[in-house]
Amino acid sequence: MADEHELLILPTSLDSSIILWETRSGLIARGRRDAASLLARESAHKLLAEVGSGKTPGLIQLEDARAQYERGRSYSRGEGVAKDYAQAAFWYRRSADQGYFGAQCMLGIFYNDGRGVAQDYAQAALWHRRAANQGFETSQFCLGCLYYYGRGVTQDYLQAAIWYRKAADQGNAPAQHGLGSLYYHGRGFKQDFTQAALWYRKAAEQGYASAQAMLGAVYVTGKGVSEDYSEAYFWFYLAAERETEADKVAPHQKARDSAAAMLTPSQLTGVQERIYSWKAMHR
Amino acid sequence: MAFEIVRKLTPEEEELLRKREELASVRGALAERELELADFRAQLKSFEGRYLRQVGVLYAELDDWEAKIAELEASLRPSATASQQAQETRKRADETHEATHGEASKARDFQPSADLRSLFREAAKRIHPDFAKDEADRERRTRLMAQVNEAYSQGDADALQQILDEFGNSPESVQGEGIGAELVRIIRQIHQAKKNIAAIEQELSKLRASEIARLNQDAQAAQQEGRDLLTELAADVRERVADARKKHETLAVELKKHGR
Repeated sequence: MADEHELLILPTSLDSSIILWETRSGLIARGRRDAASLLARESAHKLLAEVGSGKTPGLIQLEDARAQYERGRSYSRGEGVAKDYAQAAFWYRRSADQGYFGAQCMLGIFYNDGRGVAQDYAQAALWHRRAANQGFETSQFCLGCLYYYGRGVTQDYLQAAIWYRKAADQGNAPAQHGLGSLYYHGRGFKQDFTQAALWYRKAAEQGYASAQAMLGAVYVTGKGVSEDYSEAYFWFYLAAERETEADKVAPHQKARDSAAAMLTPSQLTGVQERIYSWKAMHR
Repeated sequence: MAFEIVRKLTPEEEELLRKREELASVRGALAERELELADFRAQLKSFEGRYLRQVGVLYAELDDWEAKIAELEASLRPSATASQQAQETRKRADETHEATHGEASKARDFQPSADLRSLFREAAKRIHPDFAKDEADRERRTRLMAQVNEAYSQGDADALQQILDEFGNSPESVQGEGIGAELVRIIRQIHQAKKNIAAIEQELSKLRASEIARLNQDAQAAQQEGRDLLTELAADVRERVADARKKHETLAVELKKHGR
């Protein structure tokens, strides 16, 4: 009886089946090793691609490039060292050559302004493009501007729109304003006041004064929105208060006052209350 | 006024009732664990089959090419080490071939139906050797339980039903057994079943640590990311097979020139 039971558990030819079993588990271990190296290779590729597209700037391994960028910034701001744009440009350049997008953007700005280097729009466009291709919004906006004015590149509103849009999607207020203007004036694509108002509003909500003034104007003319003097007053008021360029303050104030003249006293009180609460929320 | 006469149970009888209930619940728990073990084993077996069919055969092919390469190299540059190398690679290739084309590669996908699972539960509860009355009964149950496991892994509900019918409802208590003796037997069975649950637990963790279970886990993790690990692995090995084949061709050409 006992023998019959044993036979059920033990294979008939023990030795060969143990060898077979060992080969099989060895074969599985082999698969696991290969799969692990496959996955590691894949994730390394993915990481590189992400770093290249600037999606994960935090993951950048270029510690040196980062340190060189910091050094350039110290010279640029005169922090801990004497202010020296030529030195700043030197360190930005070293960092930028290694692909660090922050330094590429700063170098683009330096070339644009002729700071620490000879002024050169073509160089500015080159460095901004490198950072912009890594997804850095400031450079995307700057490159859009270069296309808009045709500096260092052939003038091209559509290219300007493309780069503005990339930066605008990342929440860059000047780019949102620029995109609004392209729609408003029908540059690069068909004139579209609704789109213009939409992008002006995005920048205006972020407190960008030029866009606030344009949004006010849109409400006066009723282009892309329905005519609304309360709204117009609301945005002109904020624009006048927030404008940093001195010569633009007076026109904003004039626009604000002429909008106010169209409102009844109770309308005016209502909109002023809304202004206070907007300011409280956007402090 | 209605009267109801209730006979008060003796302390032994009360204890026996309690123990019978405990035994029933332990039986349920044991059957559940047995089912889990059977499911896991079958799952790994079918995954192993898939792995051997999809990737293993490619390893066999790769090893075969490498053996051929070693053999060519041995005839191009004859030496004791070269011929030993050739023999060893050939042996490995044969082993890989045997392992990948063996019984294990035929394991099919395992998707037990709810019916099959409840049949298994029922069988494990009734037939488990832990609940044998005596040694002869134990042997019979052990044999039947092995059949139950086999039928389950084959997904054979008819066979399971047949085993259950055959086993029937053998009486639980032993004739002429007094309360004291029954109590002792049940306590022993509960103890045995608990030990068995712990053993299954150990067996499960041993299985989880095995290469195939870990590969299975990796594949499941990859699947979560929308990837198919075995397919990717197969593609990788296929590339290596192509490389080996090219290397073999080059060597064959060289050998021809050398021969002239």
